[in-house]
Amino acid sequence: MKKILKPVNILVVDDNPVILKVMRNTLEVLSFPVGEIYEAPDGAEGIRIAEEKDIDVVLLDVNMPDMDGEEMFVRLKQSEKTKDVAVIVISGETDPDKLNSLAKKGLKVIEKPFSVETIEKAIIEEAGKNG
Amino acid sequence: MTAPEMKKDEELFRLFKEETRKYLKSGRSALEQTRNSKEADSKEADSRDADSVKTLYKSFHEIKNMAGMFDKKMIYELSLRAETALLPAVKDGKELSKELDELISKSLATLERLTESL
Repeated sequence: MKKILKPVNILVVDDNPVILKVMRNTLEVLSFPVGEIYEAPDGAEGIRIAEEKDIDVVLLDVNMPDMDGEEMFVRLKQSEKTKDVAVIVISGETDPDKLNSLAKKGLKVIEKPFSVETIEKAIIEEAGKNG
Repeated sequence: MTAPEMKKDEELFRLFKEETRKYLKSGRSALEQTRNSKEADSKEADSRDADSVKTLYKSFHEIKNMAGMFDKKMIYELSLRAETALLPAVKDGKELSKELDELISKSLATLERLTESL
């Protein structure tokens, strides 16, 4: 497994304030250096932050109103500014069709509830792909 | 962070209860809306009904996700069952059957009780 030396800037997108807080608490105890942690309560705000800030990894919920996680992922990949950002889906999704659709897009999916170790391993793998 | 550690975070636990109450209230209101739409019988009512079923599904989905983080097994299992039962209605845009309406109503009542006993 790759080692991460440079602080990783992370954007968490979830419309549930409890999950956002749990994610922040989790990210603050990871074993590698985490830089800035940004939070967005919906896809539109998530895209705005991803385009403005230097984000390495997006942790993305699926079931959100207006723009769901899958649509946000597609938009991130369509934009020159954000196409290389690593995206990890963090979801409690139970719909098999939705899960298949995410898998077809090659998305890494972590199930809720998650452990610190699972999040850590996924970020190292995904952030490591971009060097 | 493990579930027991999160339980010690009082502010986060208070937020969990608060948000669960909000989703339960939103679920109750959506269930009421599906009942009203059945009586109205129009295209507009059908569309409102589909939105209400999605809101109901979302309520159980979020409660389940939060309960999982706090290791609240009964709340997690009950929300998961209700969410799973609602999925066909969400996908097909069908109205709730009498049996499903009853199951959802009972699930909301039990979740309300469980949340207040936390």
